[in-house]
Amino acid sequence: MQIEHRSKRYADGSVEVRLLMQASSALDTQAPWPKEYIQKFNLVLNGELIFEGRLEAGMAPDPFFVFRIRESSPGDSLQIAWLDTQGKKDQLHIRLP
Amino acid sequence: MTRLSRRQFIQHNLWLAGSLWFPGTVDAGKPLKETLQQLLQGQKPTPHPGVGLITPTTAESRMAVPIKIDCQLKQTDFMAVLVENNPNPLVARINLNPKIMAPYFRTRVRVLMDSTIIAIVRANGRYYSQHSKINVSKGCD
Repeated sequence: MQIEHRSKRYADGSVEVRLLMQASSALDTQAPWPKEYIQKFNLVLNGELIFEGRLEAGMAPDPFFVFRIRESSPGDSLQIAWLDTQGKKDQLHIRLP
Repeated sequence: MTRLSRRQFIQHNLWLAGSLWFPGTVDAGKPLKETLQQLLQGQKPTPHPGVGLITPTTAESRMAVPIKIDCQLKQTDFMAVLVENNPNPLVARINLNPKIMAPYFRTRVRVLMDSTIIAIVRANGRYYSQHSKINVSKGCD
């Protein structure tokens, strides 16, 4: 699975992170109502779990997320981890701006 | 006295048969009630204008409808999105760390039929909701 990310720090100190996950072709997420999809999606900032998402089949074929981190400092490491219904998991580390 | 022609008679009967047949096939209210009960464990959400739910009134594509929850309530630690007429109404459940994360969330969901989108948040241990209607039957796909 591929993941694209953009993040931006606003004047009030909050960081907006945008993620676009492109599900692999092994999952039938392009079907109108898929049987296999990304079911868990967690964010860890500096070793602390800050966001725990449990997703269902109703998400769009390529899940897209935008969220805001209120308290952070530039250079903090954000770990994005996900798990699909086939049991495959993967993660990505990014640095906040 | 007006008499029905054979064509009118058949059309009328087909129309009656159709109106009797279709309501039985659409039974969308039941899964939503069950899902809500499982999700909230018997508590009732209070409608609150501070739970900002922004959706388009007509969707461009039913496979990816953009929605946005911008919550104004403090200490929000849980958010959920439900689409009423989907086979499984629950789309996403999110637990947040209220100290670090802002209660703000944008995503794209599938809406298979015209539905009401419901956003539920938990702030200070109480559940609040907001809903919005969406029309997908006039879309391009």
